[in-house]
Amino acid sequence: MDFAFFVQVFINGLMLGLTYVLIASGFSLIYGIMRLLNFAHGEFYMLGAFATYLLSEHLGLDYFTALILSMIIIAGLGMLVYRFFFRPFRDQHDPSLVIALGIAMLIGGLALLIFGEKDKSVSPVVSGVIQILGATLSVERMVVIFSAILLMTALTLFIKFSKTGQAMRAVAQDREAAALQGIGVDSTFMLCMGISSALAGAAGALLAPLFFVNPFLGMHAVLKALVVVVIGGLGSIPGAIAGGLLLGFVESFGTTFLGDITEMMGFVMVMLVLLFRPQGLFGHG
Amino acid sequence: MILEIKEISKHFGGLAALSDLSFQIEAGMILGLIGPNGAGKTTLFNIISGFFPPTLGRIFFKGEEITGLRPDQIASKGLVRTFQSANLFKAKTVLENLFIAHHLQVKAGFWGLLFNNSRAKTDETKAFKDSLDILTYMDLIDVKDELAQNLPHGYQRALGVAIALAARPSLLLLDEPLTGMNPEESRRFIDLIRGLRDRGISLMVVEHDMKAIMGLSQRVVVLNYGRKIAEGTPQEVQQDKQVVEAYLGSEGLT
Amino acid sequence: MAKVKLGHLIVLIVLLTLPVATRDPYFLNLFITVGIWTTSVWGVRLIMSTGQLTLGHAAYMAVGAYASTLLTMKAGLSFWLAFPLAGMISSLIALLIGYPILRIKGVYFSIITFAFAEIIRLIIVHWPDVLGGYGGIPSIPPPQPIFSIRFTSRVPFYYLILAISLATYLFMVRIEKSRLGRIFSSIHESDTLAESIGINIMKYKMIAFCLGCFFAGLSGSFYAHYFNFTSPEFFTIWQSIYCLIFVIVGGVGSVLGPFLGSLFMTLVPEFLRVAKEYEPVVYAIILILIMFLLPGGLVTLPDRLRGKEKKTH
Repeated sequence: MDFAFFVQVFINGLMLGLTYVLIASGFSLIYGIMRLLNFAHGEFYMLGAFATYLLSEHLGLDYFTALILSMIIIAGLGMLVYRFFFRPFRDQHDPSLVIALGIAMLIGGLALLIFGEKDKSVSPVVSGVIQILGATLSVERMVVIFSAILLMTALTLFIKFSKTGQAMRAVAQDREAAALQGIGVDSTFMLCMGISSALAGAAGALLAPLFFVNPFLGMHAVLKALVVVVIGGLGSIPGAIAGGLLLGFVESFGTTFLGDITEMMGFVMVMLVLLFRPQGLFGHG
Repeated sequence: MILEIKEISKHFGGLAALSDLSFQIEAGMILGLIGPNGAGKTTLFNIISGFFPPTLGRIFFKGEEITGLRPDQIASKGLVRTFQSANLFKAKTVLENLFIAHHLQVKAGFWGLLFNNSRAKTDETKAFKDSLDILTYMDLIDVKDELAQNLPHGYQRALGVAIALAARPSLLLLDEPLTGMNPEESRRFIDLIRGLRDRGISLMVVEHDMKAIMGLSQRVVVLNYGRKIAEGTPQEVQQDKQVVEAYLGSEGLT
Repeated sequence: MAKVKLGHLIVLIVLLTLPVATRDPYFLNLFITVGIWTTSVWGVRLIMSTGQLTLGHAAYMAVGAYASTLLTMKAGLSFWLAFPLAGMISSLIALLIGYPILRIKGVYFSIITFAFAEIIRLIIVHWPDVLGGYGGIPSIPPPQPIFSIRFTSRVPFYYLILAISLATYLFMVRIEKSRLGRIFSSIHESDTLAESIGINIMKYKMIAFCLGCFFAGLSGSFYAHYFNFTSPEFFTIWQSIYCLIFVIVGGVGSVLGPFLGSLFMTLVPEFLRVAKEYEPVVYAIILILIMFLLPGGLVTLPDRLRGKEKKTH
């Protein structure tokens, strides 16, 4: 294949991978800090897409405003879900999982009722193409890539250097010790949900113009998140980054050369990881 | 020699929880394991009973190597442990706890278990009678129908030991059995431990109560920072300089 | 004790005489559906008795459905042979999937069972020559006549699923009372203690998982030969979550939980006369209400109404 084609597939993989990173980071963050497998996480991805669709198509807002607004709304929604549905079951392992599944179904089901099961489309943010290394790429995709990188950088800086970020890491390490040090565990959890959901929503919003939007996206997003975190390591942000990019590239190159069967690739990788390095690439033994 | 610990080391990440630990327990002996908090006693316990493997070293039980075996495999060979925080089947009655604990004595196969064939029935009758015997021995017979979670603390610890006994140990590892007991309860428990030894069960006891352990054990092993710093009779150990230093600032040796 | 038995007897008599009271095929179909879900969901409860949450149960129903379909249509076996074989094939797949993940941390079990639901769907979709693809497999034959009963109307199907459900119920009760059931619940309560007294927790978790999936396979097989049709749409992630929801709504603590849950959740949408699109929302709302207001499930309702504080497990 010629180089231009390679670049196209590569950029596609990068874009896909970065969106997976956004979704998986939020998921890993919630697991790492709250020890919760948030199966409702994918619904926030789906809502991000729908919110952007509504705000831009029906309210006529420009894309970036719609994106920011969507993220804020979804962050708020995530925090509400935590406050009213997750918090009561915080210390019970199995009920937490069940309530997360219930919320996933609730949100997905509501979306189904409100929006119907037909695909919707969001008009592209920016039109036009740009030439990189001989390949013709839509500016759209570059927007996704840069926005995702921006968000991930913001997240990493926040967690590493801000006081709240350090509090979050302390809670992730040892909840009781952190509480003894005066860190508000509850507010940390709430913030964590807000940030993670916003990231998932952003991913949905970024991809909305490129693919169709329908209420079933949620479960598929969670599946992708799960594949990424199993490969990268549950609870690890570097793992989410590595796993997400890996999956993105595998899928992009896979679809180009292997066709449909690529859908299974993610799961094949999961099986391999579980057999040979169960804790994931960056996980702890 | 019933248990041999040979050059056991355990590293967690960069931290060495245990380094080059070796000692032996003779059959019929009560061995006391002491050391300040964080010395590695619980880690050693967990390694011996199979809950995690050592990084280096080997363990031999009755001459057979048991390093890296699963906890249930080790239990089936006759090495049974108790737990520091009372680990019980809380929502079940005392008798039910004992009943389940007879797992290793049950000979019936899967289908027998399911359809309660004659072999299963014999097993169950035996297990039932044996449970009552153990409960009587442990002085728990009066509470046999109480839910485990409703028992007072001392009774819960006794139940923990009763459960371990049902597994027919030749070597019993007791993890801080006297914690939280008043002097009266402690005294009775110490007599119980001696009684177990008299019945042929070897014991390794981890304890903070110095008086109890010095009175109880034939031999004592002292750990500090994951290393063995002394081994010998209680008298020898009490006079060992290193041991005294390790406990300076702690509760002392008397 | 005698009171409970009487209640059971009444329910049994009602169930046995239902087709006599009404020959309405729509009504019968409803109860047949309840029977299918109940059988499958009993499997979920069995798996949960060792403390494992299976999130992909419908996938094993699919395995049973497709296995049974292929065994009868391609291998020419009688339904009566294909039916138990379908269950065993589901168990076998459960063994293959479960074995590597059981060794790893418990949370991965939920993840993999969840992912497995999707994997099964992908396999079905990507193997259209054998498994029919998106369109599914039509014209699945009904069970061959037995004892000169022909499966031409709903009534024989009803009695068949009733018989299957009753047998499953008796099996579940037997397990609960047996040492095996005790072993399962002891693993659930404290797997460290169970291990320390010689219970091989991996082995027993595996047994519970395989047995649970056996019943999923059976219900899937029945499903295929009753609806004469099978498609990947019937066994999606949503259906797997439904399986879990049904047992929780009914109540995990009692053997009757799966029956109550399946009954309730099948009848409620009918009662509300809602279109199919409302199902997910209705189910989700019921689940959330149950978790907040009646955590022990519907089985605990009589006790709650009587004012007793039932300890949930």
